[in-house]
Amino acid sequence: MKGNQDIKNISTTKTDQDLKSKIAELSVLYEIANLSFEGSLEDFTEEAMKKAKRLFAIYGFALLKGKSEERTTIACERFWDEKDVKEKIEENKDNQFIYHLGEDGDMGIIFMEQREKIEFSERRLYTIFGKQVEDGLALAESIRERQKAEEKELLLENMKDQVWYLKDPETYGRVNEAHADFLGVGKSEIENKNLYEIMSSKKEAKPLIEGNKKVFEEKATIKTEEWVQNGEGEKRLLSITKTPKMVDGKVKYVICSARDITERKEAEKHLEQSKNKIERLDEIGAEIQTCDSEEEVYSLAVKAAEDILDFDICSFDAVEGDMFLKKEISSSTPEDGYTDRRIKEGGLDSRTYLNQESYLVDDLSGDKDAKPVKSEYRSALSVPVGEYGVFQAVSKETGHFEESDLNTAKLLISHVREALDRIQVKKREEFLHSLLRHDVGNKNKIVKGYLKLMKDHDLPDEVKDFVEKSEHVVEESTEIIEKTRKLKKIEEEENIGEVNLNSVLDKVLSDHQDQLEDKGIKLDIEDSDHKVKGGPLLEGLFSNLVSNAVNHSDCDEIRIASQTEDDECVVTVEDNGVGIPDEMKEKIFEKGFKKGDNAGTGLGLYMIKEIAKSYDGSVEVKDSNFGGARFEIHLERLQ
Amino acid sequence: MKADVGFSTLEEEKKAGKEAIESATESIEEPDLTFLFTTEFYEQSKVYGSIKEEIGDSQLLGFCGGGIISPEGILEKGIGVGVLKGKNLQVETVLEEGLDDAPNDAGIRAGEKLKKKFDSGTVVLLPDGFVPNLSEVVRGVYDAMGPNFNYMGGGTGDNLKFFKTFQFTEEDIKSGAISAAVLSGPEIGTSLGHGWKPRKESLTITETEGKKILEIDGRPAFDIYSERLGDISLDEFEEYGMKHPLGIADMAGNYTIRDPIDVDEDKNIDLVTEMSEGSVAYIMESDMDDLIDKAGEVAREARKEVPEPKFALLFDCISRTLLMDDKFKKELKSIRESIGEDVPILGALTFGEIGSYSDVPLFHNKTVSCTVIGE
Repeated sequence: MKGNQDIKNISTTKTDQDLKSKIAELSVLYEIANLSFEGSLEDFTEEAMKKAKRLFAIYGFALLKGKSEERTTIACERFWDEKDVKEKIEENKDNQFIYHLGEDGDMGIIFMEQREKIEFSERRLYTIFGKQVEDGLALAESIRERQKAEEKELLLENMKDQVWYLKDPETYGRVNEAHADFLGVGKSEIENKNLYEIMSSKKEAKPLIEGNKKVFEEKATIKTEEWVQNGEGEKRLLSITKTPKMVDGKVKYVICSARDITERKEAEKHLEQSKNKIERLDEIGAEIQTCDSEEEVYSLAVKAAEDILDFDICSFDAVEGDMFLKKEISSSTPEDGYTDRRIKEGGLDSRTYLNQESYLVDDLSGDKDAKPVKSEYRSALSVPVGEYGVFQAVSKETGHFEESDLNTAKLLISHVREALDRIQVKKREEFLHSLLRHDVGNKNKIVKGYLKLMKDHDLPDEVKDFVEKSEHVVEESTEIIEKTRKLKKIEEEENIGEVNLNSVLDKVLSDHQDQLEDKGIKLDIEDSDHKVKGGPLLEGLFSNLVSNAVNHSDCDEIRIASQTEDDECVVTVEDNGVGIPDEMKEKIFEKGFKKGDNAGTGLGLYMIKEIAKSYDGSVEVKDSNFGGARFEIHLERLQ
Repeated sequence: MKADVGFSTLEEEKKAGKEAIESATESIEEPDLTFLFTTEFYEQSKVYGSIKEEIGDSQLLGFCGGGIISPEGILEKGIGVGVLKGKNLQVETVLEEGLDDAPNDAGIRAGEKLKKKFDSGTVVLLPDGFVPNLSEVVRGVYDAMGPNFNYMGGGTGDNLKFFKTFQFTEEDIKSGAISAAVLSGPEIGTSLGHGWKPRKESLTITETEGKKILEIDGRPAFDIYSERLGDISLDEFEEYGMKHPLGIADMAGNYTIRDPIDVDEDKNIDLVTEMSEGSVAYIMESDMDDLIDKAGEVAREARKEVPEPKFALLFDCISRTLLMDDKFKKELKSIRESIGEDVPILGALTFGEIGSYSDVPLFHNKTVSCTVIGE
């Protein structure tokens, strides 16, 4: 060490020098003695490191924890890394100092290094320092262990879960407060006691002991769920885990823990039930959507409320005018359990309908609006069905319905509303449709009548021409109404089945015989003895195609033939007329497409396409080898 | 290696800076390293700016101190510049902030940056002297850099106003920072010493709080201090405190000095620099001659390692000048004689000094730190 001694005379006496050294050494010893652990291991090791570097000649310090192969650094110079230190420890040079902490160094080591060789006097001081650090670390460790034990104790005693130890299958060790409370006893009454002594009978103790024996014998953790009677005589479901603590291959003791899962199991069961209800409601909801009438909807819904939701007494009340009128009631509703009433009379149903809000009433006697039909109705659930009315369920017990009941009821009502909305729309559509057909159709007839009257008069040629053209337009208008009716029918078509093509085509020929003769057009129909998927409108399809050819193609021959391949039957209707230009081949099937002066309603070919589609078929047009257009109708062949 | 110094006491910053640097660089163009020491009188950024304009690409290291050590003595109001240029001189500077919040971390950061290019060298450290826990800053630098470097330096200050001080490198000028440099290449000798001697009985510093000693030997700090000095009164503390600092011994009998500067109403003693609780200390004493002799010895020690000195850097504690008053000139004379009359010396009065008796640098008070640079 390049020590600079602060003395007056450079050439001083050896005695003086010795004295100064002793004083310095004493100071250092005092400082070492002041190094003590005061609560933080980090602060202690940092202080040790600082002191060592300040007081000694060393330039580097490291403190490692643990036994040799597993040592880790807990304090080390930043300019060293752990690998450097471990290598240095192996060097064992005379400028290095190693102090083994604990018995045989099992606590760790202190490593210090300086520039010059460590003299004996220095080594002595470093050793004293090392001992002081060792004492500090040992104190830190014992404080830590004590803290851990205290924390463990605190945790154990404050846990809600029950914990107990078993010394052997028959004998308790320590128990926690929760376990003693569960059994309704004091801890001291069962700790370290034999089960035969504690239980009221051998018979009661035996199964417990058998269960315990299993853990001791199998030396493995066992988990069970058991119904156990508590100190209050109540049966509770416990999830019990028993874990053996092994020492040298033997079970030293078994740690047992138990958690009360009674409520959890009930909640799981409840959840499962709710899940089932929802699934079943979804199924019934799909069925409700297929109902064609309101009556069907209400009937299905009330049945669902009874069977799935367990609402014994329930009803759907529809609003008509200013009244709530019964639409459907459950089978368990007594005869006098329901009455029609005015909306403004008030009541839970009025409140529900007017506010469009659902209500769950645990005690009807406490609800200012409630006016139960029967006094024995104690609780209720009320859900609005939109503008249609109200759904209600009642019970003779207070607090019978839960939030989950209200939620499932709302789910059911959502299906009901959807179905009722759809039915309403359909009704309106049908109404408008029949209005169109009926009223407009009637008007058309009147116009036709007037036009006929006009023709009976002597009119100028020009006017006659106008009258004829007007007649033609009125005819087309009637045709449009008819085709609209047919299109509507296509949507509703339900009579789909097996159709013999020959019989359809024979009918078509028969219907158009006169028209064909008038126009001098030949119609050739090949034998088409095939069964295809179709319905009553199939005839209309082919009839329209023939009409199309007759009226618009300027042909003198029409041929109808058919071919089958696998599960398809293709019927061709071709003519030797003017054909259809390529650029129009797609467009002609669009709704409203017309071409030329002789164009029809624009609906014919569209209708043909829709009819074919309704039978899972299709139609396309090509150029015919015959010279005109060739319509190919693809239909599903039935064997 | 070429080196020179320049000084100015002109009051206008730009002119003062110009005068000092021109004087220093008369025979040295484009220095590699420029030292700049200023005093509190000036607007620091202006001085800094004017020097920067003149030194081109030179690296810069400096601070504001309590006074400039010049050939004419102490300049309470002045600028001192030292320039070095050498073929094998390599320098790396750093300016690191954040000493207030986490001094150890700031020291580590500065150290990590400095050692990027060097395995060894001399580290000059100039931390802000008003920041608490400067010992931790120094510890942080050493922690990062280790024993392959020599360390020296001093705490920056102002003219005892204890208001604000500055640190600079070519990068910037800051406060609350540490400016530092590694020098490598030429021969460099460093030394440290003070001349204080311990009185007989030790004291145990049983309770501290920051820079305050609350208790000594389990009793109010001033009571013990007073008893040991023959029952001095509170009013006498200022005089005695100046002459009787505390010293902490190491194993080799070196003492690290702590300067007591005040006593509060609770009889706590305020120090310039912190002491650790549990430290064992002595009340120190000396006479002027011892202090002066020691300063010369420190300079000789530093010079010993440099056969051909070209430049010397000197950090002398401001409290030594306050103690010695006129006699401080003798200290400077002793130092100059030890180093060599023709060797340019640049120094400053510092608020604490940095250096090591062995390998590990510590923060000292009332001490002299000297570095001599040769070829």
